Amino acid sequence: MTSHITILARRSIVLFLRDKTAVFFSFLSSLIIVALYVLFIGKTYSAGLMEESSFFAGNAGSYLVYLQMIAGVMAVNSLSLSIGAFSTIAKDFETRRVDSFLITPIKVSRLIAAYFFGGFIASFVLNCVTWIAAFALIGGLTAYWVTAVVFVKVIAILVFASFMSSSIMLLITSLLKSTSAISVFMGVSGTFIGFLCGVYMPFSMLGKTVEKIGSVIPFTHVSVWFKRVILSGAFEQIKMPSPLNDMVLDSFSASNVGFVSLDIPLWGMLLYCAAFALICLFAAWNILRRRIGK
Amino acid sequence: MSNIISVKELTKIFDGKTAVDGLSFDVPSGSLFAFLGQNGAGKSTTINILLGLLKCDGGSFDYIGLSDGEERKRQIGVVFQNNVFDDLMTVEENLTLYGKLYLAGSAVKSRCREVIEQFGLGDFAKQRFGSLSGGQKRKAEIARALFMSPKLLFLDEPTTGLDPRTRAEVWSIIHGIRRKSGMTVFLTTHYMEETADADKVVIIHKGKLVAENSSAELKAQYSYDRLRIKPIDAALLESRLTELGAAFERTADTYSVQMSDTEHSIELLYALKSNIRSYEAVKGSMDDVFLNAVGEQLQGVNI
Repeated sequence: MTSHITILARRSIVLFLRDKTAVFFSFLSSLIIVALYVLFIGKTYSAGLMEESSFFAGNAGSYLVYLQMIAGVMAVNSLSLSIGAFSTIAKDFETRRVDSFLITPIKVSRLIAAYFFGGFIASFVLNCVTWIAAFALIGGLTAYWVTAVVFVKVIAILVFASFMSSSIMLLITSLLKSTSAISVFMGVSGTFIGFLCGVYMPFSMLGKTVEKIGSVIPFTHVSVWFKRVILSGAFEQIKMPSPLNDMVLDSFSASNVGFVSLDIPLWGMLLYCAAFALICLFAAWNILRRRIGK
Repeated sequence: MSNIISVKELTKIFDGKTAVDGLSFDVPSGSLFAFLGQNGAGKSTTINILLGLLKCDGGSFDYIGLSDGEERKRQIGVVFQNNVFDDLMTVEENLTLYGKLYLAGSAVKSRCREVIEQFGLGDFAKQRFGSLSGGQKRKAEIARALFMSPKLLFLDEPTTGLDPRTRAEVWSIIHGIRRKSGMTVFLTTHYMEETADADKVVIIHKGKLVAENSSAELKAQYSYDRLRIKPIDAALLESRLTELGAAFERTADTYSVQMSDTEHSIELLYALKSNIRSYEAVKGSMDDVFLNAVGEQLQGVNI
């Protein structure tokens, strides 16, 4: 019965949203990114852009800097929000709630599906809220408003990003046995992945080795995708001279990085991300089935 | 009386260690069935196998008179040792959630209202589960287990950690439902007095059955009444008891003397009357049954 999945997915979402600490820590990595941008990274980026061209003086430069920041925030958010929502799984195992569901007519596969969809929906919805808040805030601060087309495209990317991160994080959750282990992972992974994916600093500053490591991590490519979609719309909006495009994309880690040393187009890397996510989902499914079925 | 569960040669091995070792017993339909054992005796493992949460490595079990497959799950209720309701949801939300796993939307609402009224949960139905007292939580958990009016209720140490008044309240609810519906109760507990009314008691030790009978029969077999005597002159009492051939134990200033029957007690009291400061007659209890049944096994191992 599909309704069993809906009922338990809704439960996961409600429990996550009511757990203020879990929600706060899920946003912590993103809050750190925003704080660092406000304190110095934003200024460094703006100064770098202005060194290249006086075109970026004023709101146009700030608009680009904020947009690329929010692209990184959403990439990291999709990771930390889904694992935050999945902490319910560890709690359910710890407290035998899983057993209490298994004595009801629900099937194991539906229980796992409910956990997955709960994490996916929580991650997607909260990321959408972040995007809407960012849209309003960036518009208010810079007087540039993200176009409707870009806005909708970003929502579509969020569906993909949330699916991918939920699949990967479900695997991580299935391997971690306790809520405290998940909390530690949640606290560290967002910031760590943020660095490796070039969200905090551009790859040009971090070096080739970090770029190669980052290219293996699916979140890097999703972050690049976000940035390219958001920035391409912004370039038209601020009427930026086209010779500056590559320079801006490079300095914002928005250029395609391929896979390790291989030059693979972004669509190819997104296929890699989708395949990676499906493999993780399949593995998580089997591990959870074994853990529940004993 | 027909049986509702029949267990034959049940075996479960974890990493080479036998947790349940060829266990066989029957649970009579409509009975209060007490399943006892020390921690680690294999009680929870057995229950988990019966509930389908664990697979057994040998033997078999049958549910008699219950439906097969998924439908059977509607006829079995379980109160787990720990609470399984979500702390961040209200009692009503929790009940509704579990109800929806069994019933369709409108039926859930009306059943939920009935259960809240039946178990007296109205005062705290809108409160978050995490904010309730231990007793309120247990009552809500029992309401969950009985949501579908099951034919068989598993109670895994249902009153652990509860104060005596709440324990009495919980038992009053369960006995009330048993009387009305004839529901079978499969109980594990560490409070032996809760098993005094059991129609059948099974005691296991290290995964093996060590005693099986009604509580009255087990009491007759494994426990005995005692006289606890506080003497005026301890040395004199000891010599008189030795003279009379009565086995005794001394704890502080009190002597505990094993009695075979009432006549024996009266005779002994009469013989010792001039040297008794105070006395009390202590009935044999299920604690004795448990300790003696398991104790025999421990002795057997030591020999």
